[in-house]
Amino acid sequence: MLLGKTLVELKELIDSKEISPDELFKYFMQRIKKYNPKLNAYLTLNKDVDFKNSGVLGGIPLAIKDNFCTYGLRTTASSKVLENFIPPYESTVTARLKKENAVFLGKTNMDAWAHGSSTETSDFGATKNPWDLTRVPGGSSGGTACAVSSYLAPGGIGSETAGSIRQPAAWSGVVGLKPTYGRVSRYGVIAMGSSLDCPGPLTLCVKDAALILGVIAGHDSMDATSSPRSIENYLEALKQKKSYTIGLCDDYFEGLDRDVLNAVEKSIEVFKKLGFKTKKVKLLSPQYAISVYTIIQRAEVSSNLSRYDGIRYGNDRRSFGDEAKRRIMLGTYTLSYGYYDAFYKKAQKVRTLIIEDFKRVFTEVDFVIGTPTPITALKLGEFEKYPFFGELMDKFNEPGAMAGIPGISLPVGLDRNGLPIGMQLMGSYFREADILNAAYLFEQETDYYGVIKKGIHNYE
Amino acid sequence: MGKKILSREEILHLAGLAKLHLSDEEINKYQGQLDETINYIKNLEELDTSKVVPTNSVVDLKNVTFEDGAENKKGLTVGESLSNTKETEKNEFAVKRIM
Repeated sequence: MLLGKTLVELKELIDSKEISPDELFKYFMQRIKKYNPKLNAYLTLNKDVDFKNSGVLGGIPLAIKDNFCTYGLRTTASSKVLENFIPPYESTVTARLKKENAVFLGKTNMDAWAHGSSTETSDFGATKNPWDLTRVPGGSSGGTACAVSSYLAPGGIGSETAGSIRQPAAWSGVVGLKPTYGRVSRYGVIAMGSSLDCPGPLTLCVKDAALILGVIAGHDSMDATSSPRSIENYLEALKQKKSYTIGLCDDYFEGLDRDVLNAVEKSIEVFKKLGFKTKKVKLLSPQYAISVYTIIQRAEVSSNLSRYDGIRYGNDRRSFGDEAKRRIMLGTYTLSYGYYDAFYKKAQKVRTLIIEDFKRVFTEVDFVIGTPTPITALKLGEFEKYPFFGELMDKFNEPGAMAGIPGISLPVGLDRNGLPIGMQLMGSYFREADILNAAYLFEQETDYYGVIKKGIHNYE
Repeated sequence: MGKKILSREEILHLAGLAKLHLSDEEINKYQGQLDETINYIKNLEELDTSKVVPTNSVVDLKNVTFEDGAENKKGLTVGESLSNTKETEKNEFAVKRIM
């Protein structure tokens, strides 16, 4: 019985020869054929696979978000502009996974160019939330989140600019880790917000997240913004039983749905039971981070998407969808003559305030607790009613994203409609090992109240 | 309805800078939506940043350069570079006449 086995468990089965990598690959391909037509998690399936047992991930199948360039395998960023793009090079993240002999099942759907929090802005149709097909899985890494939640992959790769790993992890009921900016190379990731973009894993458990992070993290000479700081042994870090202090900030509990609020408060009690201390802290209101994010991200979008001329690769600029055009327009405005100081430079200054704010708080506490999203999954089409609504939905992820700090989203129960609720821990720069350690203690204590298992068993 | 922050002409100017072709319907829509967003982001004016240094990058790195003579691993061959283009001529990208 393979259903629901984690990456670590599957690796043991491969190592003990109870299953071969090609049998495992076929198992997932059969599931994808059965369920993907209604979920639309995958855009492109991989056919050219080389099976090897050796390596940290030897024979392990993974889902890869479609903004990671994969050599010879179509990569679209879910945009019609790149509908026929076959990358002539490999992203560092996928190269490192391949080096450890992971195999890719396929490329997963996302909001086009990663612009969104629902996976509805994909030019290839929305991905459905596996818990309720009338709802969105979150985004922009919604395809990977959906695939992991419905076990169309035992784990996968997403990317975050502000919430795009943690928010779909919360809405789809899986574990999502956003590392520190610069911890994981951006080389070969189709650029969205270059000062923010950050690849990371979506998995069924914390050990799997630690396993993948250990493979993809670390300095890369191909990305000048990647950190030369050496990486830790993230799996080894889980063996320590540490006690931490968790920061509670009132602003991060404002406007939460009552079921979400109750679930996060219950999580705090779990941490207390585990011996953690709590302390009230004060942070700048997330309302300002929304504005800083909106200005800087749109500016970087308008710059990054200027390379799509339809000459060297891809279709021309008429193929941009609604959301991309809206973002390019605002970015062009805030960077244009006469508005640069009022918007872009002001945002960069407030970004400094946000960074200093977190640095101060992380001298007092190890983590700040909250949720990646104030409500649970929305219905398909609900986002469209409010063009700026997506930003408000990501308001708890934007401060950390602007500061570049890491965070993890963990499932902590179901709401009154049976939809997954996420809790998040944010930590200071390069404290991934501690974040994973705390998350692992939480996992051992609660098993996420059975949420992840229930999600998978909806797709027997 | 108050006066729009961005006039129709400004929307067209921005679209021109960004090389986007917008329909009349899109012009009206973005005019309204950009107004909404600009009104929101003005909340930054509430914060005093007169003595604050702007952040360009959150990573503590300065002047990241290649070593002299280091191999350029990012380079693509001519064939690879042209592999996704629609129009080529004599192993070069073909573009419409500019002059």
